[in-house]
Amino acid sequence: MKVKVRENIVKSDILIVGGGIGGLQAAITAAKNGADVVIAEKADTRRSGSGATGNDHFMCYIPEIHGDDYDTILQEVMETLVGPWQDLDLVSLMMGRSFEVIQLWHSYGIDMKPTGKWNFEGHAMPGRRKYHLKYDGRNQKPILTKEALKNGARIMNKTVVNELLTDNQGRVVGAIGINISDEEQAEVIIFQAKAVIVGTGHTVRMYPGQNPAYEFNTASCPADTGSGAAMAYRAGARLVNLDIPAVQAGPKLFARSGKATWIGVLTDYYGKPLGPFVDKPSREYCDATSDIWREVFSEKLADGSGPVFMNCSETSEEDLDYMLHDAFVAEGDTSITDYLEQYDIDLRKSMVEFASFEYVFLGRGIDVDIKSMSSLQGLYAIGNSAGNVRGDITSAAVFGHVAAENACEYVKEVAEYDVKDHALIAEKVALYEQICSRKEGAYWKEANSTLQQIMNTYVGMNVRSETLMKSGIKYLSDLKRYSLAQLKAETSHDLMRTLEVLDLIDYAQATALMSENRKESRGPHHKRSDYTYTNPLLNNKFQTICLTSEGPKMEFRDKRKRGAM
Amino acid sequence: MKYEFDRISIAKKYINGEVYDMPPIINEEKCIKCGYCAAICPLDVIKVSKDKKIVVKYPDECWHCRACAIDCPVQAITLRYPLSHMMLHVDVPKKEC
Repeated sequence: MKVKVRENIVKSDILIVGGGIGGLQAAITAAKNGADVVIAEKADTRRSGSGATGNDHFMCYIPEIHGDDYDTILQEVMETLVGPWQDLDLVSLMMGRSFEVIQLWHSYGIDMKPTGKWNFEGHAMPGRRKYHLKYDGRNQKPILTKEALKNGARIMNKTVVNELLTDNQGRVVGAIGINISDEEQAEVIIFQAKAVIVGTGHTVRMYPGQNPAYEFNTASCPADTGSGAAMAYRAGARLVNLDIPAVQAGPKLFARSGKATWIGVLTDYYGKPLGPFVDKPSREYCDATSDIWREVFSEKLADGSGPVFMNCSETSEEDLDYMLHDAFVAEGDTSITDYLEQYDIDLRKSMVEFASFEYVFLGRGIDVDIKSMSSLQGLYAIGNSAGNVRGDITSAAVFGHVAAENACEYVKEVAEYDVKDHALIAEKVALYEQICSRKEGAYWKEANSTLQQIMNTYVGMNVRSETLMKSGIKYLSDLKRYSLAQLKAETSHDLMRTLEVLDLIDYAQATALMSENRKESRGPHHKRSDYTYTNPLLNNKFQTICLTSEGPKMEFRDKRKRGAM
Repeated sequence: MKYEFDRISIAKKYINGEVYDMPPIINEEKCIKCGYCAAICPLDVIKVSKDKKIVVKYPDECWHCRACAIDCPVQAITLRYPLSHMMLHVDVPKKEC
């Protein structure tokens, strides 16, 4: 397959890598502030990423509803699904500006109050305040796309960004991308930008999914392979919290929808409710049991008392109709309703098995400061690409907005840098040519599935130890070498997938090193047989990793406290 | 291209004159070949071939988001959920009186 390099360099003030929720919001805000903005998106911003066809919850703080006891609010928020692995200054900023962004979205045409008032449902515990706003996101991507274009942003779809360019003095100056719209030709595109905002989502496909025979059955977009974090890492930016994975849950083999807004009760085989919150279906609360007892599914499969079922047999007609035909649609889960109809499954008579899925890395990646900037000058990270704040769609939208504001200020002060003869360009083009011209070689799936096997056993979900993890680190290094020497692509689509796997291997290596370096057990997802205690000296510390001239360097830094709101 | 042929033979299986498609299934009688589905698929699964056919070229990379089905201007697309995605379910236990 041909590799050609486009002659004209694409120049802008700001390059946005990834046209998901975060990237689109960043483009809208930056363009509105007068910056010349380009989005490079590997699919199409109208339906790309985890926000493709909707979302079920927009976590937020609304002053008139939540009051002003801010410390309590932040505490409660971190006790919901987003968890405590966040710098408090960032959480505080995110919650503080969430309502502003909600109102912006409503003004763009996304219906943030479909019932007529601010409505909170699900992911909530009785007696506690609710922070997850139920809105109608079914057309959020086309609407945000239209708004970005209206404000003058340029969108380049079917354009994968694969490497960042720096001035080798700690400043980002551009990127290398590939246009994959022609299956028979990979067209390399060079970007020159004063600032780069990375919004490539999170990292999936690093561990085996529910059914390893079908790799793309994941609760978040399967095209999110941590590429933003991987390329930032290669460019010298600091990553954080990769050693703290997350686990999603939902219908056992039908992973793509995640938990969604099922209005029912998690029960055992005999119909007995399992959690402490609801014993009757509640539209207001759904069942937050698995938000706080994430291991309920795996524990009960392991000890034989499972399976665990989502039981909607007592859900009212009205709530069932709402769930199937409204809530699921708004959050992009029409496939659930479609499946149930095709297979004639009546939720009044059947209960669906729920399970927890493989490790993913939501909100684990690039370490950012209060301006959403990484340790590389001019490189910003937003949404799930950032590793020290997690807010799902809220962090994408709010930090897209915040990073754009800051990037606009930043670009006013920096000089142009001519990337034309940057050394990395020739190096990467040579790599792409090798991959595209190999006669005999490995298909990307061979490397991806083997990566999953290595991570699952040696940096796994059950037991970890120095000997297991060090073996895994060695195997990953071999896999990387073999992959670079053998992977081949016959189409530009397959080149994209091949580069995704190479990014995943880089991300996995960083994850394995950090996990091995955490010499304690911590939480449900990092259990070591050689360090069974949790070390209080590591409480409120985040582990970081950075590539230096002497190789990867790991450190534990303090969790940041909250500043002024 | 031999590779393309292999991909298509995975996508469509002809059994007794019936066509069994992998997800998504494009109804060729309704399809107006606008190419919108191929443009917007988040996983780049649908492609427009050189002879302007709409082909589900990478069916096992389908996420089942249904963006193609939702956005198709003539509702020509339905989804088939592979057996790997079985939604496991049991009968709700009878309530004791």
